[in-house]
Amino acid sequence: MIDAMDSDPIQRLIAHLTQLPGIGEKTATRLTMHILAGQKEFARALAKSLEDVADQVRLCSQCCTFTVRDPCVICSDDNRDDSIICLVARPQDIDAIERTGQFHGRYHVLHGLLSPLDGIGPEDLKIGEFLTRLRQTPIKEVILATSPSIEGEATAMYVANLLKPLGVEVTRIAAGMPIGGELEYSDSMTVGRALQDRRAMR
Amino acid sequence: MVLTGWRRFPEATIELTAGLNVFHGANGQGKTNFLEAVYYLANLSSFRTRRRGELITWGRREASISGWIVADTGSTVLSVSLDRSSRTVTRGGMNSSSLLSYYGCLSVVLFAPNQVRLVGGPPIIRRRFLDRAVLRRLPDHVVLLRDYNKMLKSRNVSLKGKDVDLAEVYGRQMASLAGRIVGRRRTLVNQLGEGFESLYRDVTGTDERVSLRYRCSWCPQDTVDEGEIGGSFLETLPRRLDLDRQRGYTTIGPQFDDLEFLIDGRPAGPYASQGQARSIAMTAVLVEHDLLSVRGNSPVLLVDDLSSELDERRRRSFLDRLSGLSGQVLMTSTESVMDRDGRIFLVEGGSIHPEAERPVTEQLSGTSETVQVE
Ligand SMILES: [Zn+2]
Repeated sequence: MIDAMDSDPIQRLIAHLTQLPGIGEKTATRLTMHILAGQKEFARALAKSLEDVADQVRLCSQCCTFTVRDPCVICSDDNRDDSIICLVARPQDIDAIERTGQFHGRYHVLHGLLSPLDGIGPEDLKIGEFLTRLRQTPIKEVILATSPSIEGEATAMYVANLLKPLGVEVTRIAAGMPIGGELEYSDSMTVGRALQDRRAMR
Repeated sequence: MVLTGWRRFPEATIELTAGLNVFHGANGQGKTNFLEAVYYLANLSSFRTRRRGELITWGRREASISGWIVADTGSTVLSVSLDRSSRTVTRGGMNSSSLLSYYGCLSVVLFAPNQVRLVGGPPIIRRRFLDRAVLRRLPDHVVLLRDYNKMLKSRNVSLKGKDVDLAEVYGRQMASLAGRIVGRRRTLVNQLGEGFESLYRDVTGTDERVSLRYRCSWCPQDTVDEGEIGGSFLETLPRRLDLDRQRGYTTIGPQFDDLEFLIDGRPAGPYASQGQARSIAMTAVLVEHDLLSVRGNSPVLLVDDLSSELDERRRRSFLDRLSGLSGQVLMTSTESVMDRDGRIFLVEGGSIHPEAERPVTEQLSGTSETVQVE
């Protein structure tokens, strides 16, 4: 890992940045040089933001999304429907669904999808927390809103199996072809599901 | 075709004719490497090695192959360049982001010495033969196979980790793809059947009846109904669970299926003579060629080293067949004498020249050369 104590601060920053997804040595160097060339205020503000994120953000005790105050804004909103929970893979998926304005229930974030080939099993996701939550509060419906990929489908099926004995209604978001998407570029799951979920043209 | 840094060819530019092209030269001069380049351009894989580094000329960092593809529907330039860690493909000068659309541009059929292993070799050779043929008609077949393999690996990892619930989930995912893959393979086998039988008789001049049978590892009913095959997969899986857990992998699926050749009703695998096995392999190549000939465009047939596998009579008969094919043929041969129309190239020390450009003395010695087969 990074020798944080005694290496040159410039090299140390570059080394830290390269650990972020999608950032290689070249980009990390460019970002570092940009920070060095700019206002010192910016560098300090950036450092403060990172510190605050590390110190203040935690997982919501209800839905497991990232939040500063616990429970999070959505979980503490009394106007939302308690009887329906939408299960998503990542916190940013909540934003995507919220933007539609179509859903007024609660959420639960798994923080990932099952992927045994990458060593990600059920115990690495917030599935246990979800089941505990369902046992504590009566729920009518769970919407499985994971992506229509192999991993997303597997995760949805796995959770659906666990929910069966609880007698909760389980639904899956309909998956269609992305608008403007070309059939041949999509994987078999997307096309397969799009066919399963087809509707009559009127 | 332009090759740079490819195998034994630091630089080579050659113009092929639309009909028969024969590459001759002593062994080890790169004849097969040239066919391999055409094959690579079409399939982005080699039939000789899986190690990319071996494809690059010793001392070079990068290899590239470009080919001007002329078809009835229009012409385009395909090129691929590779170094040890990356590969770039372009089509008509544009980066090809979708391999699916790239694959359709150039199709080749290969007849190489180890092709006779189609009969008697391991089942994977026959499955590949089927999948290759399906793929040409239904390009998304490659996606089905890729996704199925991912699910299969996921299920096997779950079995090893003793997570039965997770294994069950992947088993259910696999069922629908297994149904589609086998349905497509069986449909193809049914389509091939009749043509195969009559072509085999033509090739061999015998009245033996060759038939094809697809052997599915879980669904004995000879159906092409994808839903039925997938449903049968789903029913069989729980019955195999104990065995699968014990072994730590899935014991049924398209990855265990086989294509069986029968001669007069008897399985060719254990019973066929060498000659019969070779005739079946020859027939399969001709059938594959025929299958890929769509709308007036024929695939390029690559024939590597006929003499090592076929006796004189079969070679003649095969060459007669090749002459009758529409479409381009590229063939290597240790013999330079050809009594057929075509263009002849000499492959020597990393260069390729049309025969006519050779000095006369060399040509004279060339005609009488006898060379050991590789
Ligand atoms: Zn919350």
